[in-house]
Amino acid sequence: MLKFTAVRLLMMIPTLIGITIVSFTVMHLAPGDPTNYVLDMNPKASQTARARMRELYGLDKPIHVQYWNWLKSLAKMDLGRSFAPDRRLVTEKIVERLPVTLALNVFSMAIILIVSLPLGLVAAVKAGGMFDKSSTVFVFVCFAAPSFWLALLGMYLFGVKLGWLPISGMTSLGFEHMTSWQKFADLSRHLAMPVVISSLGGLAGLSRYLRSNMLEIIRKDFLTTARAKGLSERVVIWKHALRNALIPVITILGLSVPGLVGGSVIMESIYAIPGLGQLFYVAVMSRDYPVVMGGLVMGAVLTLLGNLLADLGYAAVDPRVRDAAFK
Amino acid sequence: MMKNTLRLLWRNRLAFAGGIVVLSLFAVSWLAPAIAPFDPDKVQVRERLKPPGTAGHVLGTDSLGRDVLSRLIWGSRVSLKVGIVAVGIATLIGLFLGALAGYHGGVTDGVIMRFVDLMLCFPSMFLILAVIAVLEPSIWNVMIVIGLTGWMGVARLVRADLMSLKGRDFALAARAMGAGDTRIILVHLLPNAMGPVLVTATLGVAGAILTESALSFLGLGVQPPTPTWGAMLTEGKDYLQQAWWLSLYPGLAILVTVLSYNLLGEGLREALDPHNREAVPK
Repeated sequence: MLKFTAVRLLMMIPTLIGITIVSFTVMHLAPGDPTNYVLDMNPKASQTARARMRELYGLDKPIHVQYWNWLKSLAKMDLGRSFAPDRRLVTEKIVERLPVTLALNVFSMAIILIVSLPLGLVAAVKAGGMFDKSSTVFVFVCFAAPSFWLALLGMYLFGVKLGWLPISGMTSLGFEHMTSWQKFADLSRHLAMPVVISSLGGLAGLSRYLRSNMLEIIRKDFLTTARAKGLSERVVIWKHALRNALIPVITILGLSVPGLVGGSVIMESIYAIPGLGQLFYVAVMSRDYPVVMGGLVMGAVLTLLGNLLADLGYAAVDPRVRDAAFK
Repeated sequence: MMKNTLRLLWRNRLAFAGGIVVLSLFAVSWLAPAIAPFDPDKVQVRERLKPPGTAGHVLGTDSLGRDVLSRLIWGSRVSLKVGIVAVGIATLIGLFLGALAGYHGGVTDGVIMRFVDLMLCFPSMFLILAVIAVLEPSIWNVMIVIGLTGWMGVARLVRADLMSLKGRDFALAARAMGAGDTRIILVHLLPNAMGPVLVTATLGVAGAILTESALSFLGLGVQPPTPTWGAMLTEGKDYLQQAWWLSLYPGLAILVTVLSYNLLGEGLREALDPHNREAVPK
């Protein structure tokens, strides 16, 4: 297992370098350069000011030198300063936003898991029945409904009409003076809608996958053997078949990371939640290039970590994977 | 085979319904000038925020007094155009890179597939927004960006198919008769790999329509005053308390469209699956 982890970590290095190259290239697709935007705001900026600014950001150097310098500072966790008026360090901005986005995504993933498991498994065991059909329609509708639309409807229904849940932000006024129990309740009330709505789109992938995987396993020889030796149908399905059907779930969860992280841009900007997604959206709107570049790298690194965790988890439960990695 | 596929599609009622809706949407956007009851951009301040059913406005009017139904009908053009052009771009790139990787193997394959893995690391929403931040938001840029970030699935599919197809007898026969690589790939191999690509493309249109509407909702997609479903919802957000219909109908339009493409795509997948083909009574 240790060896597997080491190999898997080494394999990440070229991907990480690739991520930096793609991010850097994307940000340099611009016809002009970032100083245009900063200086266009200020019509009094002279030609010399522009040149000074280009020098400050290293934009007067050849592109590969710029990349190398950026990579060097990236290695020191230095992503430069934001173009926003606060001029704060990009890393600082990202790090303070990260826990919110991570928490949102972990909760969403938990809901996806809790709902999809029974949905997919029962649909497979009773394939073709009423439950199978209605759950299929349900997950397809959830998948097709745009999350920002569901968010609007939710805000109208639960926020405006019923007044049950707050419609924006993460905390109420006077949060600092609450007891920790009140703080917990307040946070839960604010995050309930965004978390549930962002999980709906992910139900289809996992439950459909589980259903087809379970259907395939039910036909396998080892289940016939289990039945032949006289085990009850319940033990055959819910013990022997289930265990085998659950293993790939780890991979599917890992694969859903980029979708969730990307979706947090939409959820966080609608509900005004101060996470990485909202930071990224505001940066895109105001062309705050250092933050956009940092967010892009961060989003990809999160995905990479998600995949790593999934692979390690998979290897931990399935020895075949561990061995296959060295063939 | 074509007939069988159609018959299987018919047997799957949900997929068939999806196909009908998709065809109707094509008709609606084609006929938009004829069937839209009002000019979608006509501002009538005195008619603003009228609820559905007033003065001929079946689905009500927005904050500028524009007819919601007419804007929905014209908005279907944007969704359709973005869906098809973006997926067209993605499919062409995927076919090209997938065919190169699968046919040549070796280093070419290694480099292309590592690039695929790399692209899959980026949450596509982040990548798309970053590119839009650098370029200007416009319908063309939206189509190109969605296309450039959505080709990886097709590439993987085509690569896997070509790897197995290139060793089959008919491919070897073509080579023995002196056909070049390009001819073998284009004439003999790719046509045999098109089934799954068609499925992926159909599902891809659904994804592209969702992405476009999200971008337009965020104000980074197709720019006003062009009516798009996503942008209509942005406006609905500001009038959530006074005018629920502004938030309801455009979302419903997106839901029905995306659902139909997905059902059609899933139906095609089942119909093209050789496991199911024998089951059809002759």
